[in-house]
Amino acid sequence: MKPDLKVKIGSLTLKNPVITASGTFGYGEEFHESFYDIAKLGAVVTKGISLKPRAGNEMPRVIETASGMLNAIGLANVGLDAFLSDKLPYLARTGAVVIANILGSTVEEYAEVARRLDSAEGVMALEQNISCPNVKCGGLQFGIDPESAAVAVRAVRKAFSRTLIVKLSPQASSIPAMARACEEAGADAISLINTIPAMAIDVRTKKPVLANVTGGLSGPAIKPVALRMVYEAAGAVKIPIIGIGGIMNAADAVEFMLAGASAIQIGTANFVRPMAAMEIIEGIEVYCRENSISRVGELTGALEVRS
Amino acid sequence: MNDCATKIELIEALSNDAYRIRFAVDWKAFDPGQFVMMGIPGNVVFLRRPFGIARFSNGVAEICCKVVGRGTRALSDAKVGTRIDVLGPCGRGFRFPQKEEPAILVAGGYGIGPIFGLCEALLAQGRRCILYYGARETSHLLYLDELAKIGANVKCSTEDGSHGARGMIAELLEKDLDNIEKPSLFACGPHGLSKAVAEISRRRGVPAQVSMESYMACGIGVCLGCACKDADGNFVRTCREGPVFDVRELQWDSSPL
Repeated sequence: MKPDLKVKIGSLTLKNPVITASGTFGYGEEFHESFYDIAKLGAVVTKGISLKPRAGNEMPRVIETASGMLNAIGLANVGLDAFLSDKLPYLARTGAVVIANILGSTVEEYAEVARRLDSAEGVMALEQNISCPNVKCGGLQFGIDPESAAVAVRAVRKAFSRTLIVKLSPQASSIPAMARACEEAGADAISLINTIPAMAIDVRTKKPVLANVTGGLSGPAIKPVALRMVYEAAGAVKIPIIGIGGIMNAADAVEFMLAGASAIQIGTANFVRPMAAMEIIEGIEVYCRENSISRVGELTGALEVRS
Repeated sequence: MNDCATKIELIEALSNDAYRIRFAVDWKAFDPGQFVMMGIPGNVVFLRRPFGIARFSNGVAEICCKVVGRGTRALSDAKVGTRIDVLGPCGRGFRFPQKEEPAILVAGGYGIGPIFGLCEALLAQGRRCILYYGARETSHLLYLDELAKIGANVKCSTEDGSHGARGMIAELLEKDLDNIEKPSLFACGPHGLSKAVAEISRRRGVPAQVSMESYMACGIGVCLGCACKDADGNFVRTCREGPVFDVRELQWDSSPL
């Protein structure tokens, strides 16, 4: 029997738990044109959108490190106006479930972007990024302190009527406290983790490899850290958790679900294997069949901890 | 563009640190200047690496891999039969010149890869072309036998004078350009060569296209790791808007990346 892969995130029902992560999927065009029908995904999270366009950081912006990579793109994006006029119509035509990732350097900016996306047709949910490590005012101050986070989340909650997901930084002073603060402020779901601040040095030149000096670490290197944080967040709140961090295959995805995630995001794997997300959907289905799981939701939090 | 799981059919040293690698793919054609993203699945090297396509016939593609780091080292150490993932053909290739314009190809070192592909395609169409090819020393001049076989008109230079003219290839090119009517330039090589070609193009008012090299994670336009600055100072993606650019599209006064 075909397992039921549907999952619920807030008021949103996804056809499967596999979502593509912000900053690894553009605005969907490249994948939809060359690789697969993106409507087959649980959802697509857009590149982070700010009120005004951002050019991003100087080169070099990416470098491979052990079992992963660093990036310091600097939230390069087309800005809200161009997103609404050029990018969103294309995404909407594909039939994909669109989650807009939003950025803000102030509470007011978050609220303004959220308000304008609330009236935009085709944006089913927001993912509020309170955690980008690569810009001076990337919202990271909101990502560390639960009280600041609550202020920013409340403002977006007021401005946006549909599903609101808050994306946490691994730098939060306490993941359980941060998750609870976001839940109380009105978030419908929590996604975590964003990249881990890190750096690489070229011993030949004695210079940092990235122009921005530091960047965000992603890929399999961060998976164990992410799993632990998802496990902690899931134990702290009632709202759904979306697990992110180094997921390369279906087994990785299942690990996150067992730790407490209702859905997962594929990030860096999209760079390594463009078909990764499709392979993972298929792999989750196979896992469910082989383990006699009729609904994928049964996996969420099904971890058996020895007592 | 598609992603195919394939195997190395041939791997052969071209010099002490450059290799030709051949593999079957399931695409039918490529534009010279386009590239592939290639990696060994399961290898400790995590991201794929970009390589300009040097040759393609009967479903078999060839790239030239110069060892510059861990990723290229892993590929150069691979054996015939090693499983590889190949994504391609990626990016925007060279736009062909008007029929009457002689194509002046310019390559530096292992930049010969994509230029060889262009040379072969131009000659197959019966176009006039001359290749200016420079390297530090004789052993860094690759594909010379193959170039002779396809009947290419090649002018070489080496920095140490061990083969062809002594000096930089851009100098040899510039000397000859006075005697070529309506030339159109096509270049691939180190940043310094691309910059010199852009300068020659500007000064003489001759059209020029260059294939740019960049570190990149994805090769398909989504990681934004390979951006370079266009003439207006905006970032464009080497993997998508390039790797081949008209020199007038790019900013050349900034330092090489």
